Amino acid sequence: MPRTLLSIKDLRVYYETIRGYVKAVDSVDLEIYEGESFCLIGETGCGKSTLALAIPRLLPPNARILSGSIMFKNIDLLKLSDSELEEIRGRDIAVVFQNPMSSLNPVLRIGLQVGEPLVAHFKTPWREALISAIKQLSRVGIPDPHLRSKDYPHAFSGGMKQRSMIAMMTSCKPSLLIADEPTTALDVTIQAQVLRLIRELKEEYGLTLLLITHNFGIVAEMCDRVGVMYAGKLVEVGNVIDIFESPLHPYTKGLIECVIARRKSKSRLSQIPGAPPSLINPPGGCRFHPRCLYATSRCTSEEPGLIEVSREHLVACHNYVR
Amino acid sequence: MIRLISERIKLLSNNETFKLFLTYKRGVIGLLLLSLMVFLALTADFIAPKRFDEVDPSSRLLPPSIKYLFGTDHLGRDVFSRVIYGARIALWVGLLVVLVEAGIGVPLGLLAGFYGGRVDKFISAITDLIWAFPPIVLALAIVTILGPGLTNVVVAVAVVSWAPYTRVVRAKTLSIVSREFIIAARAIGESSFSIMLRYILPNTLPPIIVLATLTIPSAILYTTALSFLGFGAQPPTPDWGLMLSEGRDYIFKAPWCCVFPGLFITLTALSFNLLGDALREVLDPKLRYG
Repeated sequence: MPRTLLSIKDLRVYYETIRGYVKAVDSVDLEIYEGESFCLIGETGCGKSTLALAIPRLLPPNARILSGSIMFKNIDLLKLSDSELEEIRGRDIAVVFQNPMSSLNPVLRIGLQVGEPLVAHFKTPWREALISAIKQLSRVGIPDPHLRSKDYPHAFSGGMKQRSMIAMMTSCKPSLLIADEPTTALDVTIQAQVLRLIRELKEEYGLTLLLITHNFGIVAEMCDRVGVMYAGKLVEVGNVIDIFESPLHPYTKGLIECVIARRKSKSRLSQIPGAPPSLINPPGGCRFHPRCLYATSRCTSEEPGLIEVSREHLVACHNYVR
Repeated sequence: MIRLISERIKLLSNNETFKLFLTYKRGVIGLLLLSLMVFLALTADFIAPKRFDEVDPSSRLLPPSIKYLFGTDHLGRDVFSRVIYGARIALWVGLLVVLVEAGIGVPLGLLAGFYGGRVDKFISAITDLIWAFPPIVLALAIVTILGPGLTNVVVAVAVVSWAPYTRVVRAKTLSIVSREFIIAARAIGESSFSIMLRYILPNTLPPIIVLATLTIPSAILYTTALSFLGFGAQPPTPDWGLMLSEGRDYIFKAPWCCVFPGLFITLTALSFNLLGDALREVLDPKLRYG
């Protein structure tokens, strides 16, 4: 049994808005093991990013963490003070964001930014930090790193910016790397390169990876285990083979049906009927029941909890289908 | 901090921006005028034919001539020398006022924009309050309390006119604080203080620079106005406002006592305004990256 690095229990994150609370993450339990690649997948707006950003508490100011605990190396991150958390961010937990175009400070040279975490956390002198920043940049595949480290971000392409972000975020060799749709904003040829880079660094530094995506191709490529989210709930967790070969939750099934490459004939691309519910007033019972082909009366009233169907394969459905 | 600013200046003075600036004729004229003033101020000791306080009772109120380029005043002092030395005071005071204003306004704007909520409401309320006061009246009141003198005038003028800095920096901070690179900065464990200092402040510099060039002339005008009213520089300081005030009694008999200091006040203010207008357009990101 692998060791648990991160353990989230009963986490609820709501956003305060004028129209009421948006229940972006509602009672989620999740364990991530040391050294694995865990993937969160789901539609836009289902709470994946909120769940991931709640771990280092990088949520927008209107987010409220109402309950739960996030144990990271036996420390509850939700109980830490801001300054204690600042020490952990970047050193133990790093985040790569979706949009590299705006994730770098436009007025600081790349080298300075990549070296910044070392200075912030280990009081490394700037000169040394710059040297290791250049090493780090060459590690992520920036050509002529000692020259390019003097550039400002606007002189970098999207892919190079994302590589620099990855260089910056891994410069302290964190134990957990959260990648929030790291390739969504990049074009397809660069996507593969960046994903390969993340995987290489993961092996090299022994990182644990929490990857957020809505692309099943990336899941298959990158991950050991998968968590499927729907409307703020974790509906299915399992290892990647189980999820692809024998998905249990009707939502997971639907998602996999939607993947273009899996289309057998030239028939219309399948889709899940309906749209994700409003998270201000989510449907009662199972949140997926209005769109579910197998919904029964029990689904409308009683909320299913995650149950372990087979080893390490959990599903939240009353009548999951094998 | 110094490294940051010098980096910023390097970035600003890169060829592209400078070339763009050169296409603004008014801006170039402003820069030339300003350079002339700065040159006069720096070299006053060598250029001025007389000392600014050299009294010559035998040559009172003489009209401009080869010997006295701008004529002489009621004490027989050379107006040209006094105007040149006055440039030193006006520029120094303008710079000082802007530094104090920015010193008050910029941190407040950063705090208001960064923390938002109650901090923002509190700071914005004070800013609006200061803004609502007629500046010259408030400055007069402050100088009356502090007593006359150039230093007190600088303090008074700065205290009544820092509000624009807070507003501009607050607005700019608000637009930056939600950008992704700020979240990224948090993600690498930066403290709020260093995020404000290293990530937000450098990004607010272009509007601050523009605002500074636009507020220096009003700072100079306010201080000369206070000197004119007798609250600022005391005789025999060659302050332009004071010279206007002293020359007032002889305005029909010897208009040159007022005309030349007045002209230099106007030219200095104009040079900053022309420069500031051009800078505002040059530093506009829409023009730069559009």
